[in-house]
Amino acid sequence: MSTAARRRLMRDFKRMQTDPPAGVSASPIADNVMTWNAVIIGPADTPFEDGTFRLVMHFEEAYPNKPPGVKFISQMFHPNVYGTGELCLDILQNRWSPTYDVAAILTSIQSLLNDPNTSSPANVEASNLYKDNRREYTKRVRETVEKSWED
Amino acid sequence: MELSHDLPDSTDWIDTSLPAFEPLEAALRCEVCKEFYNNPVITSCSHTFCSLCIRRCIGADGKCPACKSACQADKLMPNIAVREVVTKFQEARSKALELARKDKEDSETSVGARKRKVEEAELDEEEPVRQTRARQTRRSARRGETAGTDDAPFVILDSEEEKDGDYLPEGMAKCPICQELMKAHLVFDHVNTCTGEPGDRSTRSRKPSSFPTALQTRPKEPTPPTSRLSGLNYAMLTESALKKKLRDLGIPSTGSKALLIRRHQEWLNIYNSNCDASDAVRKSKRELLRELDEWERTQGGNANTKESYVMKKDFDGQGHAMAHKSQFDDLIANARKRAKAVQKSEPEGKTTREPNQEPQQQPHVDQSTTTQAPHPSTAPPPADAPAARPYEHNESALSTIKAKVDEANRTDSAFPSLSCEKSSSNDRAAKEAEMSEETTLGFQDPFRSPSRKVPMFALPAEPVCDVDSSTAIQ
Repeated sequence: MSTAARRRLMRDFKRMQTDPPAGVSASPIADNVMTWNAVIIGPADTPFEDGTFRLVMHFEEAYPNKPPGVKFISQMFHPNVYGTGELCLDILQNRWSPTYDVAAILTSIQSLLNDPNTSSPANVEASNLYKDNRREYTKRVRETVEKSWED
Repeated sequence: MELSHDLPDSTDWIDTSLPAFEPLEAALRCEVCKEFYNNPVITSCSHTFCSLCIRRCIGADGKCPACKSACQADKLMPNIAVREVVTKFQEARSKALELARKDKEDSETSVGARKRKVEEAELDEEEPVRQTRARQTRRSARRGETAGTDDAPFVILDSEEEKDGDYLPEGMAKCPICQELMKAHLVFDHVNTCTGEPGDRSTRSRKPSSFPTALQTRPKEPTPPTSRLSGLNYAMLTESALKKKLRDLGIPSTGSKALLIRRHQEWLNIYNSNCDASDAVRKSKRELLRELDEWERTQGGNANTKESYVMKKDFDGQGHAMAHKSQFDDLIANARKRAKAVQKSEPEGKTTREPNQEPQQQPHVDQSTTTQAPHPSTAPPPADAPAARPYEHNESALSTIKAKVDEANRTDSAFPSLSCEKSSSNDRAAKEAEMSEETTLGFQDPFRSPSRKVPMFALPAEPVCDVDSSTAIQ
């Protein structure tokens, strides 16, 4: 069955291959185009540098009118990522636009890594360390980066 | 995977000799569904989308997906020019793409051959696109056709199609409508009365007429476009009244009121977007009902509403990562490869961007207390740094700040204003000042935080820009 959402996701997939954004990668799981696995490489010159952070994305039939659910399955230490791996990112909630595609979502998350929004922290400890003790924050982030290599 | 390779997309042009066609084709695709515009309509904010796409967006949040300004479904107007461009582009696409791909292959395989003519090779590197055109022209000339101009591929397409039946005896001309051969001076009179023959419309759209476009009669919509359905005030309707409305429209009337409303809205989207279609592609009500049925199965009453296991709270991320290990390994390899490629190809891109951010932050971290480094982004109160412990013994100041903080907390705003942020930081700083001697760090950081807020508030705008630019490139 080919619905608008599925057709759009196939196109998103094709674009990830023909016009791939730097440092991110994603593809649907084998038996279900509505569920994707994704990887974001931590951007260079940030505490997240070289981390291989795994994510899972789930799309509904209302996509792209509704944003997908996105969560990290790698352990993260970031002001806007909950302990469960779920993200607090405006473009995945109230500022979602149907013009976004998988590449746009992943590059937004990638840029969120080094530019957290501490006004509404999902991880209060990370947010406080980010504001008050950057050295410790960096140390904790580096731990998750090293862990991401072992997964 | 295989499927996605058959999917025509604007990115197909990237790896050809005509990469400039990639943004061109992207501009002919709807920003929402990324397909070629289907029944394009223009909004009151002058953005164009497929009729069905924009109607669904308006149903979801009433805003234009491109600029987020308020949008109304009854203000949408068919964008006929775009519709025509898209149709013609699609007709020309496959041939043009084939040529552009072949041309790229040729130029890659004939590197050795090119060395014979050094000047040509140099020219090739400097202006690949122009060289491409020249080559296409040469190829078409070889085929015995008139030298093409800029749109050589299109000329080839047309003239190949009608190599045979296009010979016109001297003094004779074809009627642009019915294609009948007649004496040239009779054509104008004939056109006025020509009714055309059934089946001729398609011929006419494929074959270029010997008449300039301006002289052709525009195909009028033979049947008046069906009138659009108007929305209902659902709050004013009882469930039974709404059911009756749905029955009258000839669509299913089962389910809760919420479902009835959603179904009616979707029917309006499907039905009204069909009204924006050109006459040639307008669908029958039967087809529309089939589309509604698909909606019913995937998003309506018969949809599987079970939450995906992925999004459940107890989802086992580690287990999922293990189960899909090989896929993740591939993804990591891919992402790494590309990240490296980008770093190599534009090393200055990273270094020029980073300094813009760093200098603003670093001074605060490094220089601790002594300075209040000039901060361009916001204006932290000038008194901040000099008065290193301004509130320590100033109870009245403390109490006013606390009152402000309480007020800020009471107004349950998701985005507190900058002034609120400042006062709360100051307050915390003041408390810390009271508590310990090592206040300098604690002090410094809260003062930094309000200024950090500005890029953070600006953050939401970023993804929008990203998308804009990325679609522009795609």
